Amino acid sequence: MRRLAAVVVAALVGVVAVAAGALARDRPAEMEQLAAASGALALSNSAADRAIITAHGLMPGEAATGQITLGNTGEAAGLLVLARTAITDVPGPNGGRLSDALTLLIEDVTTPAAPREVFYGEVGGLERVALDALAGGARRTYRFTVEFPDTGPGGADNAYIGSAVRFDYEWRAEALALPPAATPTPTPAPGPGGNGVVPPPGGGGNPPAGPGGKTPNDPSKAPVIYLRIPHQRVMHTDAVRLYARCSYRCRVKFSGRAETAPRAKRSTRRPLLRRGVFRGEKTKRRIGVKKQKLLKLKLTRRGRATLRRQLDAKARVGVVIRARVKGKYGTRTVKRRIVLHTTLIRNGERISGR
Amino acid sequence: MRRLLLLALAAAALAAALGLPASRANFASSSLTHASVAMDQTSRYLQLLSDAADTTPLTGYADKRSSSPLVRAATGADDTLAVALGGYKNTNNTAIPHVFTVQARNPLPPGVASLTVTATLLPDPGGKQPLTGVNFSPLSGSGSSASVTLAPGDKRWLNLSASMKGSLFPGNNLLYHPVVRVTVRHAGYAGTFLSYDVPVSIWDGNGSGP
Repeated sequence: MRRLAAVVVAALVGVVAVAAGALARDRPAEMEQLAAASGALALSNSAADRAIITAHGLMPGEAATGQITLGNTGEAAGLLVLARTAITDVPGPNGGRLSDALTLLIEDVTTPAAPREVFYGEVGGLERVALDALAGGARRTYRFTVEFPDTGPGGADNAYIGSAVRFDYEWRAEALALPPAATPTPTPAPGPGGNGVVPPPGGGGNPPAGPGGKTPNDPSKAPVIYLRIPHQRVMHTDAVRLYARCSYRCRVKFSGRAETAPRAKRSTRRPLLRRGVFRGEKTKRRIGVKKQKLLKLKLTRRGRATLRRQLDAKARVGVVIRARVKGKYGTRTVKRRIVLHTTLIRNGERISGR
Repeated sequence: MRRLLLLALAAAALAAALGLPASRANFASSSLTHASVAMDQTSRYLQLLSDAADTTPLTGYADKRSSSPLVRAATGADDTLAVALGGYKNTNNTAIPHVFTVQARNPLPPGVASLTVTATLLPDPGGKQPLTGVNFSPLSGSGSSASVTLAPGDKRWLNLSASMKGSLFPGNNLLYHPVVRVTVRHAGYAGTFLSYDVPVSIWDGNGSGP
């Protein structure tokens, strides 16, 4: 019995050792391995565990850029996916969160003469984006441009003095059910789908699509809307100003909900006004691709009264902005939550809602 | 039994340390990168100093009016500098010299030879403005100006004036919170981003107020 137990223990320990060995072997990020149905898939990364962009002392209107090259050194085709894993905001003395203000442009510059935009929007808005399907041996180069837009001399940017932010990204190669490329060496070819890039299943190019299927009205094919809501004085203008742009032409209906904005993270947010915060919630607005469009969501009288009442009582109120985005290939709904805050002076004491 | 167990454990530790190749069927596929961005900050260019933060033997910093015992009007430094002017109930326009000092960093950031510093007044959130003027003056000697050009290490007084006369300020024990915005420009940057918002409090009542 003792001998049997010893053998079992030794076998278990052996399994653990083998697994540990396998982990240790595959840990270097330069060459991550993925088992694919049609063969090995290996992703190389020119900036593994390093910064794509490091910029200090940025001023309004300035931008910082960085480049990264990813390659599939295996044989199987894989879908390249970029996902943001963390945002670490370090607000400056005026409290502005830089992730709310910075814009990010990601371009595929594998062919430097013909850069192709793959993402544009608030840095904090990028959660997961399917970039390209890579055939075995293919490489893609992406340029990241982070910009702090200059909003003019009104002093709105001053909230971000001394603010800093760090974004962590994870690159993933996800196995595709495609036959392996005939040769592992890429054959550069002009035009979309060239340079060894296999269109993602479900259609690549324009409109951008995720790895989903081909069903009509597939949410992954719906236009992606890029929303930027700058710091502003909502109660002075009776409106929420926001900038919007779609990945392809779209029509958007905005609606809003007011709710409490308790400071404690675990506190439940209580709805104050479920609909009718903004005027014209049934109005469809056309939004284009190239330029950000400035939209004003005007408050209804009831919406304004609700927000005012909550601001007077608690100095903070939340507004959930819901955008229903409709395009040629699908519809999606996105939500953004903003918190309005005020500074009250009560009996000579300053009460800040920030 | 014990010996066998010890041997097995030792073998496991050795295998883990050597990274024994076993299986290539590892499904980890991620590769990490990051981006770090930081905005410029005014304190790289200009310091705001109160008496307590000033390490030089400079004297003459303004006091909080009617305070007993007397305390300085300005406290803190740079982003944390705040001014409590004290009680100015029913006063005509009154100069409040030497509230705090501004000093250019020495050395200034690369490529910046000198700074142009200006100050503007923003009213209390309720819309009232008890402050009537702001200017800079040299540490010794006379003369004042609305803006000042500073070489590395140069230092100037910031002076204020206030008035609480008239029906706008009924003297009913209210504390007003105007702001002094100190803006820094240099040859390479003419915007308003590099600035400090200095919170000021002034008491419309008897005594020095809170």
